[in-house]
Amino acid sequence: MNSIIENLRFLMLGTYPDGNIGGLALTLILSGLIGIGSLLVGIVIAATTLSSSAALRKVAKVISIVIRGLPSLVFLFWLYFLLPAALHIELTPLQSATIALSIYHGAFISEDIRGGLSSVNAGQWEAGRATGLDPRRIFICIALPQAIRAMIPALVNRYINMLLYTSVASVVGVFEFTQTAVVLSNRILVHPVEIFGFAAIVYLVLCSAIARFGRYVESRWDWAPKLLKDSVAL
Amino acid sequence: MALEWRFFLDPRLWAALTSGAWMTIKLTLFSSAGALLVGIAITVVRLFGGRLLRNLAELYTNVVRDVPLLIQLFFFYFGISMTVPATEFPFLRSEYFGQVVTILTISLAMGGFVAELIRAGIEAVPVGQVETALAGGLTRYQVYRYVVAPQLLPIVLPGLSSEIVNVLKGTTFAMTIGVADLMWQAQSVESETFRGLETMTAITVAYFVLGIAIIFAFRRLENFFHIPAPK
Repeated sequence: MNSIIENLRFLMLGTYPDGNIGGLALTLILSGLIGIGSLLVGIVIAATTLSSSAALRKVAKVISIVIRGLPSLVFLFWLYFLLPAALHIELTPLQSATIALSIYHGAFISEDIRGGLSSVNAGQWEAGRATGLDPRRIFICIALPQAIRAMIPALVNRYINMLLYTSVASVVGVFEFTQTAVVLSNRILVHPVEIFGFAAIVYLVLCSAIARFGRYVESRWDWAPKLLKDSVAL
Repeated sequence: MALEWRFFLDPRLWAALTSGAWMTIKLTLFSSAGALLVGIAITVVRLFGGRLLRNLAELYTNVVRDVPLLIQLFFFYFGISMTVPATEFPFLRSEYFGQVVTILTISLAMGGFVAELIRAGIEAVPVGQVETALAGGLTRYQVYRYVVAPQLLPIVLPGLSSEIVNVLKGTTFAMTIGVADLMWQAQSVESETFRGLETMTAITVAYFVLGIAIIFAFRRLENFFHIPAPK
């Protein structure tokens, strides 16, 4: 226990004031970056799968299936070697991990988005068209709010997974929380159970926080079923 | 650094790929079986256990799903090798130790996911059937054994196939504790030949083929256990 308290600063910030930021702080930064990046990638892929061109739809579908069929570690390694070779640029481990994991989780998010959109009842579109709204208005004002409501549970699960899988980045040398725990354990040698147990608890707390936040958002956005209940009561 | 096509025919690459793939398949099979057993055990506890046991099962599934697999792997690997004296158990120094820890960890972790899957399957069985069976005089055990369980397989199989693919993906972490799986072999080929791009392309294809094989095997199972709709 003492070894953790003495090295708490190292676990939280890495070697920050003297070197690059690391530890739990980097894990959070990484999750934030991947969270935004994967959402963008997911929206692009989902939009492509819904496009009017059959060829584009097919391409997006194949890309999504291939990416989702690979282990994140393999995908990370692959991009780690591919990106510098293909683009002739130097990428730091942090940059390649961010890009690779954004694309990886983006493919999963595109599925969540697609599922959410297709869960909106076709009758809603018909009703919108019957009242004379143009397709864009129907999508933005009617379909999208309901779809987002339906997506929240899947997205929360996805974000929990994303946070957990930032630990994969440690394997290509990103100095995030798992890596600091490994380094600390190797340095102290005699307390691996305490150190990795502590790391497990930290991840557990973070993930429970995300799950709780998801439930809060869900309860705040509970208007859709309520509308339904009202109409049933009428 | 361009892609060197001839490297794909290199015997070193093929030797590494085949031995690595064999290890990955072995880890996946044993871990899947373990995860299934753990999942079923948790489900049984959830259905028939007392309040304390039920809460413990709940806690277990949450903990296991909210902690990165890598951390769990390190926890067991370093934890066991630190607390158990290697002088008395030479097994800890053998090459099998890493494999056993990997199978154990993935079984325990994925067991939590499988348990959630089975629960979703049980909830998908119409409540009316359970009520009818109870009203017909069956005991709780009989209801689950003869009414719910037979319907469970077709419901659970699709989810189970993606869970087994996740097990396959999870075995890549075995590399970090020195198990010579596909990922580990790829790393060693890469550090010998500096052909990172080609090696990674090769194992990307290998993992994809393995994943697709699992998905197709489960498709066939689904067809086999498919319950035709009543006319």
